[in-house]
Amino acid sequence: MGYILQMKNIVKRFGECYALNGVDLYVAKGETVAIIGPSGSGKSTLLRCVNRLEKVTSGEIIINGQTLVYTDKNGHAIYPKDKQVRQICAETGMVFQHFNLFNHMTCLQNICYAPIKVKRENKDKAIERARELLKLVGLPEKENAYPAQLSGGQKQRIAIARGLAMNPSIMLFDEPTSALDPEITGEVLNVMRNLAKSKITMLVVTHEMGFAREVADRVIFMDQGRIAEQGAPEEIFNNPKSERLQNFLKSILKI
Amino acid sequence: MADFISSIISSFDYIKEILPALLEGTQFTVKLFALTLLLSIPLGLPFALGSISKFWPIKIICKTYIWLFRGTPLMLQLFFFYFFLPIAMDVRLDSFTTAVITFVLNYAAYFAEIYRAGIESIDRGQHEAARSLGVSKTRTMFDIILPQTIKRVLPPVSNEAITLVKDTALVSAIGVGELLKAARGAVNRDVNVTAYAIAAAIYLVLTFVLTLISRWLEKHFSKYEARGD
Repeated sequence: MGYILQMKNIVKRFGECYALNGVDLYVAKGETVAIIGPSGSGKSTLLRCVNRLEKVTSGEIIINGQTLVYTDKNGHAIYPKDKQVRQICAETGMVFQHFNLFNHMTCLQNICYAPIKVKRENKDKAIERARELLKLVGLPEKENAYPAQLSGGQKQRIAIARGLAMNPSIMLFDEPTSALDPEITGEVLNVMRNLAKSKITMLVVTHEMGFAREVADRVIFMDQGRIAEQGAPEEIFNNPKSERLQNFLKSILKI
Repeated sequence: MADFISSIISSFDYIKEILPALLEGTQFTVKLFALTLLLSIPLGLPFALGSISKFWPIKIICKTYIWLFRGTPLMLQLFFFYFFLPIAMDVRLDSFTTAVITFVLNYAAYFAEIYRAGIESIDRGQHEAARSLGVSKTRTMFDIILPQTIKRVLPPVSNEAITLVKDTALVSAIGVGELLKAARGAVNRDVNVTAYAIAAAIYLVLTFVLTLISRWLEKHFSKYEARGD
């Protein structure tokens, strides 16, 4: 109980290829879950199914008590009407690998847009909250800057603030540091570390093993569309059981 | 020397004599140009949105419209509307109105294609980000995608606008007394090609002004792409 996210027997097929082949994932309130695994293992697809950027082929997803999708007797995935889907997905905040900030809006506008236009929040309140979030991610001086004027790390921190502005029940991170130069991944990871500390529920697809090890409450290793192994970070990194995980960790440490 | 000076003076006199007729023609040219641009730029948008619609009847209608108006000569369309409307629908429009209608329909088809390409050139991540924030498709289009499209379509749109200045010369074929017709009249009457040179100069001034305006607009709409503080 107390699960923010429940995913049951998720299958996602692209033509003949199974990107996800029966994944069960439960995320408790306040938990930080890191998903690791080789490329093509289905990590990002799984994350994108949570907020319906991908439609599942079958399975059930419940976000904060609301059913996003279930599967009927004939095995068809049933989603509610688009308006309701959007409402449920707004319970999630998504941070993308390539930031995807709205280029024609300032940082402040990026953060306030959805609260004002989607949640119909009071404009002054939304701006006030956006300024708080800018402080939280350490960029209060950038409120009137356009995304093109920011570094990659700054863009990603603004994107995190934008996701948080909707007060989501869970934050989804899709390889948030993969597009950044190695020396500036730290500023983004720091912000995420603080979020984890303040008990914001997070699901993080990452290649940053150090971050997964230090910050995650639980690490999930995916391979070939399935969860191959999961457990506390010490267990996963110090005592990997499956051969595939051992190989994966070896190949990563070699680099 | 005196001969040369007097010939210059007399050619000035000749220019002064034909200029009023040419300027009157220019008025028609500018009016047709401005009306066409003013009406076809907005009209292109619904056709662009229609041609990327997932609702197939609308998509087919819009695509067919674009195909017809881009696929046939503008001159032929002019003749078609000039002769077809009075005969088939029993509406008599003066030739200038006919010209405006034809040009608007023709140019809207081109603008629709430019807009469509612009809309589709916006990164998919913008749609995904909007969707992940719970923004509806309509809102995404009007608040997120289209504002970013404007900057990208400005160069091809101003290109079309310059083509339009020159295309206005076609309407002399249905009897509108625009600039080229006025110039041709003077040339034929006086057996003197000066009027063509002046007409060319006037077209050049018009397109030059357009170039300046489009450059200013491009600068204005790229403010959010400026780097550095």
